[in-house]
Amino acid sequence: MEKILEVRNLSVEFYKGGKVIPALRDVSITLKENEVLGIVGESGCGKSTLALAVLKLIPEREGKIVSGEVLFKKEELLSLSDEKLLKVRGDRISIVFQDPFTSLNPLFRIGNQIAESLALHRKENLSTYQIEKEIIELLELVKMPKPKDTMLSYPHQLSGGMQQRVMIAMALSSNPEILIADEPTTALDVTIQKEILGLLSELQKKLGLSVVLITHDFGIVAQTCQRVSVMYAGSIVEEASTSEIFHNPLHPYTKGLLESLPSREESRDFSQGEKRRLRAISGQVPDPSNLPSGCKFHPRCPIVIEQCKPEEPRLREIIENHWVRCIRAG
Amino acid sequence: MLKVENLKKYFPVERGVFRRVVDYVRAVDGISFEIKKREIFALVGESGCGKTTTAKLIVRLLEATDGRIFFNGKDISLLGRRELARKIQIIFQDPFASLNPRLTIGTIVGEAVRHRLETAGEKIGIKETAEKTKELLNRVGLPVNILNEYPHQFSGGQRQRIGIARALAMQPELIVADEPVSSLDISVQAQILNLLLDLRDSLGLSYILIAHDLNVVRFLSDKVAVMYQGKIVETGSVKMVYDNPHHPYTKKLLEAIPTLETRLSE
Repeated sequence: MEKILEVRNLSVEFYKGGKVIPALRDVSITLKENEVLGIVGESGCGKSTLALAVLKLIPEREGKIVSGEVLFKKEELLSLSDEKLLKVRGDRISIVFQDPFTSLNPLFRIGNQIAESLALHRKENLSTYQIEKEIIELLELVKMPKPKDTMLSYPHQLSGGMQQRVMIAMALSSNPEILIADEPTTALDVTIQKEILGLLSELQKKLGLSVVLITHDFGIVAQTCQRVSVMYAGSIVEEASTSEIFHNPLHPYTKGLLESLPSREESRDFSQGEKRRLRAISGQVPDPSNLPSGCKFHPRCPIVIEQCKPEEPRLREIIENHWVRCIRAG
Repeated sequence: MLKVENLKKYFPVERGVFRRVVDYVRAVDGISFEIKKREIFALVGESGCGKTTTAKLIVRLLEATDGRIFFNGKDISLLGRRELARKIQIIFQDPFASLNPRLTIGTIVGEAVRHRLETAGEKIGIKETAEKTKELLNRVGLPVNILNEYPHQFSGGQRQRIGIARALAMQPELIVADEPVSSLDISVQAQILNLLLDLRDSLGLSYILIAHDLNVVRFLSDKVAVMYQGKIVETGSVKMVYDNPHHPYTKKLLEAIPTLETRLSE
């Protein structure tokens, strides 16, 4: 499969209260055509920053991209002029955010909001009739039960799941090649989450989309992604195919995370009086403005040795297509 | 130990200038359940199903429209607030909003310690309060030298521990935990869940766990009740409900859990 998006050695810094906060440190990812790539990590690990940086959406006053490049079909995006970038951002690469409640404008009808995105991203001038037809087609595509009624409703009249469908419809209105979904179901209930994830998978196959799915939930990764990158403290610590990550995690952080999940499969016999305890990772996620030296995970790592402390390990390919940032792996 | 009988809470829907009551939202619509000592009882359901309202009714942050709650055989609506607070405590979902940002940790937890002793008619000095506070902090796995620090200096997981320490200060028999881990990171979530289990074992506590994460519920609780639109649609031991759900809503809920195996088994 062709590489459609390549992020190379991307570093992003934020500036807050006179301090430099390294939000992304030397992050590289590769998205292939027709692939769903998962980015997992805990809050503050930089996964949302990555989504924003790819589209050069980091607010200038707060931070900047220090180094690295983003290649979309071999074209470098970060050095493009704003005008040219607009032809890619939202057009060929679309993004769906976590919170549909704040992403939609409460004052406009759903139809108007989708029409705006159609007007911005379509080359040809559409007549009112055509626009309406397209909006209805889009709403049907995301399986809204009553597209005509939805078009005339305001966001508050729709449930969270329905709002997220509208957001997806808007993201797809420009026929993008890549869809970045940043925690698309975190704000939703589980039953709705299942519907939205099902919809995303179906659309991905039907439209031949390449998807970057950002999430903190390993369950979602297991169900939707082919490859996964695990992030910790602003960098990627492990990258492999989904089944490889689950069956053969090599970084102690990935292992720890998987073991600490109160997974449903862990059905236990309570009658035996067995002590129910999770295998938790000790300590907490480091403060991004005050990262530890060397391997950023070493203060919490169960297999830490002296050599972990002075220098941050490189990402190494330990098994074919399985990359790990740990000197003790392999 | 705790018995809830036909509990109801209706919120009026008001319209017009005269705030005419036109309808009621039936947030909790006639639920009954019982909790035994040392038991962990989970209420699960999706947002808006009435689980948090139920939690608030049990600690009397809200007054019930109808129905009764008995604690050790006594109707809680007849107990004084102070008396009730010594028996049932609550831990909230959001550790950022539930701690006063202007008070030090020593005051937040120490206040509860003093409150309990004063209700019991004992006098307590500053030094002794600090000692007792340190004991509590130690119990929930926090360093004891943080009495003069403020909530913003702590991470989400640590704040949740402070909230737990404050609840324990009252030496309650039952703790209502309203989504205690849903705002925490996965690696920290496991620590707090383990802490809740440790405290149950060492202090003989019972919990009412309000949660939407069915994996957490399965791990932590003994019994579970599934709520839907203000009613309990299914209840039983965790094993029974998870392995053999009867109500269609329970089935739908369980099927929706993203498990680690789904795709891999394809």
